[in-house]
Amino acid sequence: MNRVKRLIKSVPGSTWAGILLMVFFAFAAKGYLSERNIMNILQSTSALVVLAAGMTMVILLGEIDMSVGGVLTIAATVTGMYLKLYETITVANIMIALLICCAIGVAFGLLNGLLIGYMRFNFWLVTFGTMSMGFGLAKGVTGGGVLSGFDTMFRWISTGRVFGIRTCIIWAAIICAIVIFVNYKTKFGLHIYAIGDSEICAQNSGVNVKKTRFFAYVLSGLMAGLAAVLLLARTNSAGATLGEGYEFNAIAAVVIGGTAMDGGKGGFKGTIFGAIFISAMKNGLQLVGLSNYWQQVLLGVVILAIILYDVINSKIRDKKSLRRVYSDGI
Amino acid sequence: MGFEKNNVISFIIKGSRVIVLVLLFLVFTIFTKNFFGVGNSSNVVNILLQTAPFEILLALGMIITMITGGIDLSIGANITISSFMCAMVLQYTGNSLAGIVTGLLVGITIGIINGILIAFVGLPPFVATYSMDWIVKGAVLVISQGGQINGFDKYRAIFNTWRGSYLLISIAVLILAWFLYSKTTFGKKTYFVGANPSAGELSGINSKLIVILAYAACGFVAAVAGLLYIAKLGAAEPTLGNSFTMAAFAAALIGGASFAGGKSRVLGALVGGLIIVVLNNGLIHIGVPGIWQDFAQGLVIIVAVFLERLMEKLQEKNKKGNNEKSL
Amino acid sequence: MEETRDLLELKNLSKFFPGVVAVDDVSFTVRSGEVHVLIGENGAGKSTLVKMIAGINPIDKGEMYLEGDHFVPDDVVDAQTHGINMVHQELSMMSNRTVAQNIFIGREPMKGGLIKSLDIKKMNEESQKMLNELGVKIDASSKTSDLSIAMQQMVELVKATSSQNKILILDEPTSSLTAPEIKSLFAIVRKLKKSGVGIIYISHRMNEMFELGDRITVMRDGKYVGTREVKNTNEEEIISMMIGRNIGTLFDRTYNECGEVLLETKELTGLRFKNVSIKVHSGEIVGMAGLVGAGRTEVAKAIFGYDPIDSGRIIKSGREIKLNGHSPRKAIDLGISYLPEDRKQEGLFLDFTISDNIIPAVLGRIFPSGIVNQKKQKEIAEEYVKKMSVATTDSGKIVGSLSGGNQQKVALAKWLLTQAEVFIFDEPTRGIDIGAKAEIYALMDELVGNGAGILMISSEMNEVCGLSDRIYAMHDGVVSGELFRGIDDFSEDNVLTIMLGSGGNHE
Repeated sequence: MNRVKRLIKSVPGSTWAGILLMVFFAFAAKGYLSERNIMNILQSTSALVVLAAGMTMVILLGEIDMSVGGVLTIAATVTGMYLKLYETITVANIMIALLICCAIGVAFGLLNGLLIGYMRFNFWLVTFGTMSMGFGLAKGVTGGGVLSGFDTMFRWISTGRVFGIRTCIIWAAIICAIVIFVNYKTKFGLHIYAIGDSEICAQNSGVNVKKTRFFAYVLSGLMAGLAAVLLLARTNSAGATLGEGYEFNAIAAVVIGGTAMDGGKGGFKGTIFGAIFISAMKNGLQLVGLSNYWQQVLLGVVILAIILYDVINSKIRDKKSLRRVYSDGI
Repeated sequence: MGFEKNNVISFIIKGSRVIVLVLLFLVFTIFTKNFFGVGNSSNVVNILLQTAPFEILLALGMIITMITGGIDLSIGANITISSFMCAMVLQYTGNSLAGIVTGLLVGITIGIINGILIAFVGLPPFVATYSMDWIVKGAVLVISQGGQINGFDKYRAIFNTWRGSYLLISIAVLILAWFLYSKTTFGKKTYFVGANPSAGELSGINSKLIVILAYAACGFVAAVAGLLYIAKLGAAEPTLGNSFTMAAFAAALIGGASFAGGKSRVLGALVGGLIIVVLNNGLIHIGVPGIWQDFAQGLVIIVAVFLERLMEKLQEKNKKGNNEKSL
Repeated sequence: MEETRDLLELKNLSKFFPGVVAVDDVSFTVRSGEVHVLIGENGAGKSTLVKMIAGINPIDKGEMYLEGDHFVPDDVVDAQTHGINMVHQELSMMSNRTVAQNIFIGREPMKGGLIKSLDIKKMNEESQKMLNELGVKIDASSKTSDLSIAMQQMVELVKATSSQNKILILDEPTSSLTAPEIKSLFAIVRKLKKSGVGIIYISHRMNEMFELGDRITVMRDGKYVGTREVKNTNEEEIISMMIGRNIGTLFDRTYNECGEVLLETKELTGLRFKNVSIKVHSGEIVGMAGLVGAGRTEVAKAIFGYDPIDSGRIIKSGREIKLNGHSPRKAIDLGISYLPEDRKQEGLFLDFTISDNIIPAVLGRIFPSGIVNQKKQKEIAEEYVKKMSVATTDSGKIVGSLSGGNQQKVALAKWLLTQAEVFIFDEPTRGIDIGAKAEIYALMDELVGNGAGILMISSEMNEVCGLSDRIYAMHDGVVSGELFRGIDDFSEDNVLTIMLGSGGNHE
C-alpha cells in the first residue's frame, strides 16, 4: 500500500497533465488514439525530441542554449540550397547533405562552447547572439524566400517506411537511444550532472568543467543539425522561419520532462516524454479544430503552469524539510 | 607622466561607446555617398527622426529590467498587444485619448504580471517573460485572427503633423527614466536591489515592489513604442513586434547594459540605440542588402560581448597600475 | 608509537589579496601520523593557507616540499594525485547524486571495451566497502540530499580518504555537528592517523585540540606565531598566542546599570525555533551562544521582520509590534537594527561605493523629497567614515576593495546611521583582524553606554563570554539556558555545556 502511495507521489505533475490530456482528447477528438494518429504524433515529435536532447544536456548544466532554433534553420536552409543545386540526387549527395547539416550544427556548437565553456561568457548573451546569427544568416542566404520540393530519395530519410514505421521515427529512436547512453552511462553525462549540481564541488573533484561545458554545447549544436535533416526531409521545405519557436518547444519539452532549470536534476528520459506531450497536445488541439494561434497560447500557458507547479511545489518541500530538521532536533 | 596616461585610458574606456558611435558615423559619412545626405530629405535626419526613437525606447525598456538583474523577453509581444489594443479602441470609439490610455494600461499590466511572476512566485526572469512572450503573441493572433487594423487617421495626425514628435517623445521618456533611476531615492533603491536583493531587503527596501515597478516601467516604455509605431505605420499588425525583443536586447547590450544587476545605465539606451540605427542604415548604404540586418545584429551582440571583456581587462590593468602607484 | 617522519614542509608561504596580505611568510612541517591542529582567530589566514596547500589558491610566494621533494600544486587535481586532500568547511556535495557518485566523482570506474560505460555497480560496491571500513553506516546508493548534515560530512571525509592519501586537511569539520557525531568523526580521524596520514586540523575549540591533536600551530593576522607539542602546552598559552595580547584589555567594558526593557519576545515560534522568550535591556550587551544551525540567526531575522513567525509576540519598548515577514522597513523605523552574519551576501553592496553602502537604510529620512542630494550624501558618508575610522578618506571608494575589518565597519555605519535603540549584531567580528575587532568591541561598549541595547549572536566563545552582561544559550531551536554575569559561571566550558543542551535543559 505504502509503495503504491510513494509511486504516486514520485510522479511529477507533468505526467498527470499528460495522462489527463490523453483522456480528454480521446473523448474530445475523434480518432485521436487511432494508430494512424499516434504515428502522426510520433512523426511530429521526431525533430523536436532530437533538438531537445541537446537542450537537455545544456539545461542539466544549469544553462540554456537559445540558439538551437536558429542553428536548425541555417543548417536546413543551406542543406536545402545544396540539394537544389542538382537535378537528380545520388547517395553521395545525400551523404554530403547530411555532412553539411551536421557540420553547420557543430560549427555553431563549437562557437557557443568556446565562448561559454572556455571563455566563460554569459550563456544568454552568447546563445542569443548565435540564435539571431542563425536566423539572420538563413534570411540572408535565402533572400527571404522558401525552398521546397526536394528529391524523394532525400525525403526518404523522414518519409520512408521500414516495417511500416516512418523512418523519421526510427532515426529519432536511434538517436534517443544513443543520447540515453551518453546521458546516464558515460563520464561526460555524469560530469554534466556534477557541474549542474555543484560546480565548485565538481571542480574540486577534478572534473574538467570547461571541457564538459564545451562539449555539451557542441552536442547541442550537433543535435540541432540532425534535427534539421529530419525536419527538412519531412516538411519538404526550408526558409528563414523554419525553426522559429523551436527553441521554446525544446525548452518546454525538457522542463515538462522534469529537468530543473537550475541544473543537476532530471534527465533525457523525461525529455522524451515532454516532447511527445507537446506534440500530442498540438495534435489534439488541431483535431478539435483550434487554430495555430490558440495552440501557441495554450502551449505557453501549459508550460508556465507546469513550471509554476514545480516551483511552488519545491518551495513547499523546502519548507517542510526545514521543519522536519527542526522537529527532529527537539 | 604615467598618471596622465592612465587618465586618458580611463577616459577612453568610459567613453568607448560614444567613440564607436562617432567613428561609425564618420566612416559612413566619408565613405558612402548618401549616408549623410543634404537638405530636408537628409538621410541622417531621417533615421534620427524615424528609426532612432524606436531603438532608443526598446533599449530603454530592456535596460530598466536589467538594472534589477533581470531581463524582459516579452518586450516585442508587449509592443504588439498594446498597439493592437489601442488600434481596436480607436476603431470602435474613434477617441484617440481612449486608445492611448488603453495601450499604456495594457503595456503596464503585462509588465506588472511579469514582475509578480518574478518577484513573488520566484520564477527566473527569463522563464517568466519568455513564456509571457509566447502567450501574448498567441493571444494577439487569436484576437485578430491574423488580420490587421488600419484607418485611424485622426490618431495618426497627432504624431505626424510634426516630424520630430517621435524623437521628442522618446527623448522625453528617456529623460524621465534617467531622472527616476539616476537622481531619486527610488532609483537608488532599484540599483541596491539589483546589485544584492537580500542586502537590499535587509536594509529595509521593499525589493519585490521595486522589481515589479521595474517591469511595469518596461511595459510602459514598450507601450509607448507600440503607440508610436502604429502611428508611423498606419496599421496595427498581430506580428508587429516579433523581431523587436532581439533588437531591444542588442541595443541594450551595445549600450553597455550588464546582466549583473545594479550596473546598467539608463543613458546607455541612447548610445546603444543610435549605434544600432547608424550601423543598420550605414550597412545598407555600403551596399549590404537590408535582409542581412538580422545577421548583423547577432554578430554585433557577439562582438559587443568580446569588446566588453576587453574593456574590463583594460580597466583592471589600469586600476592595478593606479593601485601600485598609490602603494 | 610508530616512527613518524616529516611529510610536508612549508617554507615562507605567502598569499596576497587586493589590499591585504592574507598569508604572510608561513613555515612549518607536518609529520606522518600526526594530527596537526591549526588554530587562530577568524581572519588569521588558516583557511587561505590550507587552500594553498590543497591547490585551490595559487601560491604567490614560498615553497612546499612533499616527502622531501619540491612540490607546488598546479591545481586541485594535481594536489589530489599527489595525495593531498581537503574536506571543506562548507559542505560541497552534489546533493542530487548518490553517495557513491559523490565519492567517485572525477575518477569513476569504467567498464567495457571499445565503448566504455560507467561501472555503477563497482562504484557502489567500492564505496560501500570504504564506508564500512571507516565504520560509517550509510547506504552508498542513497541520494545525498537524504542524509543529515553530519552524515554528509562523513561522506566527504570518506571521499577525501579514498585516494592514495598522504595529507588530509580538515577545515572546521565539527562546526555543525552534535556531540555524538563529533565522537564518531574523531574515531575516523584516529583510524586515518594510525595509517600514517598527516592530518591538518583546523579548529576553534580548545577541548577538541587537546583531545585529538599532537601539535598545535598558531596563526595570527596571516603570520605564523609558533608551534607547540600538545603535551607541553596549555590553554592559556595558546590563547595568548592567538590573540597576541591580554584578553582583559580586549574585552574592556564599562558595565552600566541596566535600564528599561527595550526588546522582548514572548514564546516566539518560527521555522527553526520554538518558544523563544528573550529580553534586551537598555545599556546591556546580551550574548547569544549556540552552534551553527541552532536557530539564532533565524530568531534575529524574525525579530527584524525578515522571516515570518508562526506564533508568539515581539514587544518593543512596551508596545507589541506586528512584524511578519518582508517588513524590515517597519522594524528599522521602530528602532531595531540587524547586522547580518554574512556581510558579503547580505550586508553590503560590494560593487558600490562606501558612501552608497552607508545610506540604504535611511534613504527616506535623509532625502525626504525623494531626490538624491549627492553633496549631502557625501557629507554624511564622510562623517561616518571618520567616526568609524575606516582606513580610507575617500568615501567614493568601492567597498569590495576594502579589507574585511573595514568592510564590517562600513556595514556597521549603515546601522549607526539609523539611530536605532536595539542593535542585533550577528557575528559582528567574523573574519576580521584583531585591531578592527577591538574597535568594534569599543564601539559596542559606547553604544550601550549611551543607552542602546545590543543582542550579539556569536560563535566565538571568548567574545560571548568576555563581552556579554547576560548570555542566552540556544540549542536546536530552543533557549537552553540563561546566564548572568557575576552570578553564573561565565567560563567557556560552562557556556558550551549549556549550549550543547547537556545541562539545565528546558524541556
